[in-house]
Amino acid sequence: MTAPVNQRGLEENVTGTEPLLSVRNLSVTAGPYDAVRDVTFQLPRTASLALVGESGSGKSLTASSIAGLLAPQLRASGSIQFDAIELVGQPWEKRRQLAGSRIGFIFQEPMSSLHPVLTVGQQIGEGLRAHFDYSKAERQERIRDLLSLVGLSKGRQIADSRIGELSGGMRQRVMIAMAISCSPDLLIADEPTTALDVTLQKQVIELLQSLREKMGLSLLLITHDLGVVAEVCDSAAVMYGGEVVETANTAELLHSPRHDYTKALLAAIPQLGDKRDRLPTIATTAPWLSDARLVPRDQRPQTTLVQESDSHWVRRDIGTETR
Amino acid sequence: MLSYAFQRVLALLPTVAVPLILVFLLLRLAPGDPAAILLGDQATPEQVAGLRTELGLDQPLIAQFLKFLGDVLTLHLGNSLFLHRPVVEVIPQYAAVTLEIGVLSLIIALVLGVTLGSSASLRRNTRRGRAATALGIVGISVPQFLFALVLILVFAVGAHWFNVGGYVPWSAGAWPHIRSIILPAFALGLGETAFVSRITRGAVLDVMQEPFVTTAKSLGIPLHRINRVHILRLSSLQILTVAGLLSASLISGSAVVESIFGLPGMGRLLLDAVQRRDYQLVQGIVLFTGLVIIVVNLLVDLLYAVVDPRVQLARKIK
Repeated sequence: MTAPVNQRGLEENVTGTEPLLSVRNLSVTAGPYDAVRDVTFQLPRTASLALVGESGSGKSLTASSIAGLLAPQLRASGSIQFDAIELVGQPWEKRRQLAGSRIGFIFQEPMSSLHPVLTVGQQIGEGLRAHFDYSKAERQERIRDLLSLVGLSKGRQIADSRIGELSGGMRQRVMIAMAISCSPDLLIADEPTTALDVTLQKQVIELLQSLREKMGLSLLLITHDLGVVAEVCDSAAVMYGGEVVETANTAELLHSPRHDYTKALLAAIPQLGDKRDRLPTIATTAPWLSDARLVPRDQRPQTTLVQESDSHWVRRDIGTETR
Repeated sequence: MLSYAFQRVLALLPTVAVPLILVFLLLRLAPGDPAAILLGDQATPEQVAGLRTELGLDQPLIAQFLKFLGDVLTLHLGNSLFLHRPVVEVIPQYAAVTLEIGVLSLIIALVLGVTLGSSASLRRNTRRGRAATALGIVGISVPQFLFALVLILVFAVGAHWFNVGGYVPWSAGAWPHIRSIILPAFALGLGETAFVSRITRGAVLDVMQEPFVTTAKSLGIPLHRINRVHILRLSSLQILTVAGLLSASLISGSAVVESIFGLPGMGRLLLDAVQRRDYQLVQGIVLFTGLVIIVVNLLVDLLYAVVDPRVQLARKIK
């Protein structure tokens, strides 16, 4: 039997230096309802962590809270420490200093997330202008360097084009070039491959991998694709209904999942040569959010994260034994 | 860009045909004999018959139209019956006043309207933003003539900064001239300001929701710069459309303002011409106004392509 450990224990569990990003008891609320609850995880320097979960599990809101991009009607509480700087409750002007320059964000849909009328060069340039005192020529040069870094060779031509003139893969590369333009320490990628077809997905994942190595980036990858997680991330946190239900290093999570939801998620992945007629499905989506039946906080079962091995934490009902 | 401009000009040709045909039919479809109408009650039958031949009214309609086209192209629009001067001489003189006031009021409407509108949307949850929204609603509800009267009352009768009415030509000096058109331009422009401000507010609110604004934020770009570079640039497309439409309504709206301020502009000229049944002059004014509106729309089309280069691209692909 493993006793429930308080959240403080989770933090102390980390070996070595202080993590780059430490999220503790993060909740995101809209009025009386919460879409993200008590999310706690850490990302060591130069490591990569996946936030995995279905739509509505709160993974994107968690990412937005870290980047300070929550919609105005949403409120984050708890603690997000980035390089020992507390981010929750900071005014935008303060967070702006970090945005782009230390925290880069890759969005899912490059077509709508990039400006339709400004050229690629102008858009990347706007980000550079916000954090550096480059001359115009230096800025141009930096933009071409960035574009070649993400594998776009005709830098000058691409810098002068608009997003509508580029292919899907090129667009996502431009998006990545923007996110890394000010050499951030942390790169948050919110479903960077979801809008792409399979061959492009692979290219983008390889690009992210190589950039991580070249630039020493830490990566927070938001995805629902466990294949990508296996390929890219050191560890993973599975989110469901706004909570982290299980977190472990990637190999352990994929091979010996403990939480029922993680097991169900893994069982739903089709295998090559699969003989099953139907894949197993998961019945409810985001239980407290679906069905317009928002269950108030105090009427939900009380759960907590329980440490079950070195790096493996699982959410259990309070008072239940380890299964 | 040049080929795009050329295409736009070509596309205008059918549009130009519409005012031409309307003006041509205006006289021919009026009840009674156009020649008799033109000459008035005291004309003798011989005079009427003479004018009929002179105008070619005894020719078939198509032949009349071709002759009319030829007249228009060679700027032979006849004489104003009342002013006894060629229409092509009368119009520019009056049009200058109207265009001057129109352009000035358009500038007023755009500068004030875009400022108010973007403030109303970008700061919509602050007191200043709400004040801008409220001001816009008041402005849109107040009729032009009331603006004109209030302006006269406050700034001319009350403060004596301007003359109550009357027009001072350029020849009497630049400052006296400008003083005489500032109040009319504001009277004309203030109502339109409210309109532009409403449109700007809506356009900016639309663009603010776009994901690329969040992207710009994630890069740490200062908000004032996002507003200017990322948001207003796109919103300006809708504002431009409205500016095109406005310039048409400014020409027609000038009739009221010109009457109140006693300015010798096109709006008043048209009113007088209609009242005096000065058909030749009415023809000329309608034709001229139509052409001005078409040219303004051409300018708007060309500006579109400057602000949003995708406009040209879309045409290339087609």
